[in-house]
Amino acid sequence: MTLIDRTRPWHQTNWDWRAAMNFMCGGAGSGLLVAAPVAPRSWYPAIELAGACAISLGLFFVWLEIGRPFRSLNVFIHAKTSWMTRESWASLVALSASIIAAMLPSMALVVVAALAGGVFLYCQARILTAAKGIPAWRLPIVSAVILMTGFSEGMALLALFGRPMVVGLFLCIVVRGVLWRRYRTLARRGAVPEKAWSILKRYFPLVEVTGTVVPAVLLLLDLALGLPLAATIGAFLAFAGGWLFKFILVTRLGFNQGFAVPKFPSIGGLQPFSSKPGWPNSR
Amino acid sequence: MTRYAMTADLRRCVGCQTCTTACRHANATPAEVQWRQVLDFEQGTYPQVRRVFVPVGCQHCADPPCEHVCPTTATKKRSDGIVSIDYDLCIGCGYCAVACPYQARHITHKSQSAFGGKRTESEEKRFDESRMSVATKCTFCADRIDAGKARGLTPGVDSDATPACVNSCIAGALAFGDLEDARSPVSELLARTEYFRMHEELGTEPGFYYIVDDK
Repeated sequence: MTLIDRTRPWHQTNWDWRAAMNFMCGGAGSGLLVAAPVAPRSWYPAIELAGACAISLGLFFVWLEIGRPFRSLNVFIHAKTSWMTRESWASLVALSASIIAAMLPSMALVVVAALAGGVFLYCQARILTAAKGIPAWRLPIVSAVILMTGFSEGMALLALFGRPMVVGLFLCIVVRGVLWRRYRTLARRGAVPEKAWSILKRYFPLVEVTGTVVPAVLLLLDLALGLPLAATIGAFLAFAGGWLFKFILVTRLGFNQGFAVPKFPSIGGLQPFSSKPGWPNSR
Repeated sequence: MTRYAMTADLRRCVGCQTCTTACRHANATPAEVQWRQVLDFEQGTYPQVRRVFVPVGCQHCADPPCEHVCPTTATKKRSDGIVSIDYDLCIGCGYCAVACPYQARHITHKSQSAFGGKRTESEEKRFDESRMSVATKCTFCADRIDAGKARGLTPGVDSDATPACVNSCIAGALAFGDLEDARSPVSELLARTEYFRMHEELGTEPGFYYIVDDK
């Protein structure tokens, strides 16, 4: 990389697929806990255990990523402002509640686990928007996108235990699809560096078709014609689309801010210049 | 109150990278890590072309996003405005690095020699295990400032209490001092010049000012 290249945004190197796995597994697991109260009572133990396992797996991947894993308990210190600390505390509550709910399945405990899962998911959503150095993550809409993606994944995962909740899942993926579209529009309008937009532009059709269009059609087919297999495939695709979006968001769109010179020195009487390499001119 | 800040006069900087080298020498940063860098910006088309050299690094923000996100409180803003890292608390999660809009933070997992192969004798001597796999960045040479102040010296005026990059600048482009002291080098410069702060729109209130013109 030359010195001049260094002025442009480049992809961050601190969070890789392991961080993405936390958002994927943790988001799906907490989404599942949130969705649990609408499921049949007999599914509770399996759902609660699956949710707890998914959240734990996500945290395990984060643990693999940190530089000093044996100091990992320090993560609990800064609840005052850090969403990562808050996520850690929320994970403790969500894991405890879901494991207890799996052993003593009752509506009250499942609701407590759902609330804790919701808080965990909200913390995850805020983690990305607090990353001010990454324009594609810090957009306020990313919080809503992560939340809705988690809810959708949770609703979709119910298909693992029996017939999916078709109407609920359909509504979730429609709202998520609208949010994804809005995110894409903001990126197109220059809210992210050029390289991030070019990657999003390339992958977005795949994400949208996999996560929104095909599942929506399949779920509608089930609603209209009573085709449970279509609903199950739709749920699987809705889940896969969510994971695909989050994987791309974390591992492909994480270009940093780069550098900018809003005003060059006016030596030589030339016109005033400004420079923000790697960003679209019309913003 | 004290608020330490740095200025870089973009009319003076010649991009010699002496500050980069001085920083590496003073702070013994790993081979691939530069806490103080000088960027080369070129803009326009012939004959309307401009080139400017821009020193960058931690901007010691008044509202540092890195401090807000740090889950361990390893990153702290001192009462004098310097943003510091406690290497013994940091878990190397990298959250501060993605929160910093100035790309100022580095996490090194493996120490390499700047010259390839085994570390040199000097590199071996100055190797600091506590800085491996944790976040590191420009400290404004806080140790030097603290030691100098303890001896009654004035940061930004006396070289023994001034960051190494400022001391080394061959063009006098870099200056350092207390913004709250009207007689400090930075206050005097900012009073008579036009300047900007990078990415100010992000609300970080950086403590690094880029001078572009006289008033």
